[in-house]
Amino acid sequence: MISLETARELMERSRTRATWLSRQTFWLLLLGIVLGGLLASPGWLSGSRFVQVLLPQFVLICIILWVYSRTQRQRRIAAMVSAAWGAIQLKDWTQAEAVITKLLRRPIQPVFVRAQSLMALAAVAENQKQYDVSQHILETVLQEPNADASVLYAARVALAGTLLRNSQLTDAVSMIDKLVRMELPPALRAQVELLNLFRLVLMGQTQEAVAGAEERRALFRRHLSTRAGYGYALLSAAFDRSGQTDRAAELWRDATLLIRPAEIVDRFGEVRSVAAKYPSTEWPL
Amino acid sequence: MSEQEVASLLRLFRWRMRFADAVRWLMVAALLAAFVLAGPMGAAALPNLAMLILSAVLVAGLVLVIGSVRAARAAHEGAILLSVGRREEAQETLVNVIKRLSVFRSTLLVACQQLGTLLRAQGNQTAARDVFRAVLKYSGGRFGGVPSFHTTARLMLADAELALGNLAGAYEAFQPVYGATLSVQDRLLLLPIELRYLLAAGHTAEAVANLRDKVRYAELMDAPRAAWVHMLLAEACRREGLERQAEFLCRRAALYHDVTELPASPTAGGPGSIEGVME
Repeated sequence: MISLETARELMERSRTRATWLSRQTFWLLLLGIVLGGLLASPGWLSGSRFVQVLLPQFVLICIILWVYSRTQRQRRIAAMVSAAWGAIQLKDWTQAEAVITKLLRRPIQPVFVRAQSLMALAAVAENQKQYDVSQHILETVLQEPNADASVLYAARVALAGTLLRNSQLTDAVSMIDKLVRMELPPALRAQVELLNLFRLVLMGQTQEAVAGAEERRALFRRHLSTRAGYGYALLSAAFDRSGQTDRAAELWRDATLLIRPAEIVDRFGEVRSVAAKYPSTEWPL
Repeated sequence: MSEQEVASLLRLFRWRMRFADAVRWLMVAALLAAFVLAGPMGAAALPNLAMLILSAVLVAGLVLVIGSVRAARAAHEGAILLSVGRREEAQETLVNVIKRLSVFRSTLLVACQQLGTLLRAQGNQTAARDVFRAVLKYSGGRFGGVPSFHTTARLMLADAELALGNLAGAYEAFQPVYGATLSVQDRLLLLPIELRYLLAAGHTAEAVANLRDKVRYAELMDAPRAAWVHMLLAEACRREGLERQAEFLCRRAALYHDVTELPASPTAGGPGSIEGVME
């Protein structure tokens, strides 16, 4: 379980100090100066012929090893980020938590890779229903000035969802309204619409949710792939509350054709009554 | 692009890759020579000669890297143009990258792989296959190989071979990938290719093995590809007499995407079968 303290510690540990000369750069610079000095004047450090022959080679090997270890570390980081997101996609949350907490124990560069890693940590925390932890992480990502634009958009969408879960409705509504008004790529627009629908269902604004149902359904189908099932489930809840039970039953059937009912209810507890009321699709797999 | 144009471009690509290799080894050799000459090993003039070699190598390296960075940016731009469907501009950009001098092997490989993807999308399967073969050849190897490219290139080559109806060629291309540890992204690439091959070769029992896992991976794809894989799995289930599963998978496929837009033949490339892989 990721607590707030753990998250804070991981965020602190993974941060790279923004100094003009890092410790590693200092050592590399020093080795470079020594190498240059040895090449320009072999007798600079020692009068021994043996040392004069071997020292430049030794310094060069040190530089090569340093560059090699840095490259290997970057590769390891990239592989771990990929593994963490792979585990998240496959909903292997234990593995995702293990990889991401290990990864964030050391400074991560470049900034966008750290932002991606923090997003993965936020996803794990959200799955554990640690919404305050997730909120704190996402707010940190949004404060990162050099993060990738796509990561920042994703962080905003995720934060708005987390605020809703944390019952910070005013902030959540204001954030969702801003996102709805923004010019976004269709895939992100579909995610924002899903979030907006969740807000409407959560706040009991069922008429508004039902009004744009067909457009929303088409948008979810086109861009959310399997996650469109969550959208159908929320639409089903909206139709159920507005008394259109046939439509609600049909949407619930579609929702549970894509995602198993238990998984939908686990993510959106608001549809629990719908799950109990309407028959779900049977999975013969 | 005509096949002659592709062939001539591939000749240039091979030359560029050899050039990038030669530059790399030349720099290593020059650096080693500089260090052998340095120090009190010979005449007094030798350290100066070493400094001269080192400086020349560094300056030449810097000039080449600056040019290569520009080429890398252009290759990235070409990939973006292709992913947003601006094919003509993408083709022009990618061809220019291959024609440019670059010492970054990965830049040339990206450009060539994207060009193959473009040719595949344009229906020029033979040329696409030739391009993927070239990428596969140069992305492997113990020294200077790019493993992530190598796996993707294998899968893309298998995809092109399947589109040409060459089952043996497709199997040969993707078979080594089976033994490798694949990322989720590569698994998502492999699954439709593997299913198309198994269906075309009549190995339907193998196609329905681990059905639940295969469906789990299909769920991670974008809607058209998820629908396509569901249809392939449904077809395999039907051939194996698993009617309930086939019906369930067909219903899911229809919910993901309009199934009338999907190809009828299993060997044909599905929606976005290889496009958008490299973004």
